[in-house]
Amino acid sequence: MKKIKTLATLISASLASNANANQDTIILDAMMDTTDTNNISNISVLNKSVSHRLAAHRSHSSHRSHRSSSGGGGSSRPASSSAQSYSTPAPSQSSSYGVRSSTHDPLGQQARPKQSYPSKKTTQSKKTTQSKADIKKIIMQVQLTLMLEGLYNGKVDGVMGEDTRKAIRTFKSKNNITTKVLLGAETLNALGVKGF
Amino acid sequence: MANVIRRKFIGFYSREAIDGMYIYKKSNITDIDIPQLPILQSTDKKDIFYIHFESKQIKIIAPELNEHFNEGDVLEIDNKNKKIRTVLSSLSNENTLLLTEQCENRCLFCSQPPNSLPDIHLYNRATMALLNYDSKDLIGITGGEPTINRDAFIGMLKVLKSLKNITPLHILSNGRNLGNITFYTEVMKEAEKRSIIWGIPLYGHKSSLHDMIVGSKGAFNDTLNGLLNLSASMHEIELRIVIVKQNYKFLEHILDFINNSFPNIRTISLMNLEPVGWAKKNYEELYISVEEQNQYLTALISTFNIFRFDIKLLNYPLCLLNEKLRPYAVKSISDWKNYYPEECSLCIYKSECCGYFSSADGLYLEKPKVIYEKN
Repeated sequence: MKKIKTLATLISASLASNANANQDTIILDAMMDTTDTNNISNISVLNKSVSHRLAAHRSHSSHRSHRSSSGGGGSSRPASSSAQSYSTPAPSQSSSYGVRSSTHDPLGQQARPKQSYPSKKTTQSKKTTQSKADIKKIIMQVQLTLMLEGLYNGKVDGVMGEDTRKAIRTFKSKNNITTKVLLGAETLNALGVKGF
Repeated sequence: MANVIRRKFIGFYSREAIDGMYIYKKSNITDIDIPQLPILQSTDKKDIFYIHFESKQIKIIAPELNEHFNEGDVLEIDNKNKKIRTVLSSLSNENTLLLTEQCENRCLFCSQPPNSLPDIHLYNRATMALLNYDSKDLIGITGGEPTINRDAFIGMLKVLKSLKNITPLHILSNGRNLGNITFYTEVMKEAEKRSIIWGIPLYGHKSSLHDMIVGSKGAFNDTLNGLLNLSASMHEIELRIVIVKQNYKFLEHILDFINNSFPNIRTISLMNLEPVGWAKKNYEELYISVEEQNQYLTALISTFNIFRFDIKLLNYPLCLLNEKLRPYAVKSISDWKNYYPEECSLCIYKSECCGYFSSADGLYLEKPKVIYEKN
């Protein structure tokens, strides 16, 4: 790999950056074993590791139905923040900066600098009591956003109950997200939930 | 640009800071009862701060951060421009959150010209900021029109209620949506125990005048319906009248109309034009100098302060008002857009005066008449 990298650097600077980007995508691909993989370029890097944790968490629960209803009405949301702010393709960070001004995208997260991608190792070592609190926090944020969307009516308590699941499914079908996992990276990004 | 009282931004340095909102804290302990924002933690060293992300720490160097923020403040990092922005701070004289940039009205002097960009993320951001800042002081809510996205507005109140947040709110709304009884009832239900002041603008005593100024037909009727509904609630109403060339001669009519129609409205804020946004573009057609306003304002106050009204003058530098009016003037301009021209340093009233909008610097400045001694 190192040789390829050097070679690419020799060819041209821009090619080199592409090669680096590809390497990263490969690493991320490996991380994504349990999460939605339909559209890697549409997923913000931050939430990949989050959904990894959530997916692991979810597997303990008794929930079975992952099927999201098809289509769902008009695309009322696609024009929303998610489509514009969270679709920054992971590989081309430099170009993704400044796509929208931060005033219009206060919660927006841009692709993280390459050197800070979480490695697989750190993600796995995270399954401690700390991560339990993290998951609760993320579910709370999901509930909060679903409430703002008018889809959820229960408590904001960080517990993945039946109402929350139902609301997530409605949200997904409204936004044409057809991933198998209930709350994967793509859904988190569409919700605009930041995973840390 | 004029030197403002408190800057909205400070600079920082970091190789890999992550954009977004943070809560500024000394400790790194997570509050698990609310969806807490990531923490920007201070250290023993004055200039150095840490963001905690997963298992690693990201270092931030910001020499001014320590004096610009208090513990518990909510701030926002913009890594591209290397700026840290105040969202809510106990060191700021005014804390306001923007909910949306959409609006039904097209006011001639709109300071925040509306667009149709999606806004859920702004409601989300405001809700998170309110939850994390957890203030018992009044926080301003503004737009756009904050109630335009009804689901999101109700959702925000629901979240706050669900997490037992009791922050009092001052909501700037055109009141049109509150004319809808279903929406109004739901808002009241979700805002049950919250103290709310609704700042609602009325620019005319008849539909032709109000609708012309706000650039939307039917606005007057809708706003009145909203006011009627709100009058029945426990919430306070602050009626806001921006004074421009089109309506300054009718002020008495407007107040008379309110006096007769809305017995529950007590607070009336008369506002001088802020030269920003469309007000700049239409400045010549809109701005009526305070000098010319003086006689109308004086007549108004001598007539109406015998009634139940509590009249306030917002955005009026003291020196431009005549002596009778000065006691009604309020220091109303938010610190991040507030400045005093050089002349003011000699004025004996400087500390009591609202000063000027920084956007008035230059072309839009009605020259201060410095007061050297008390008459």
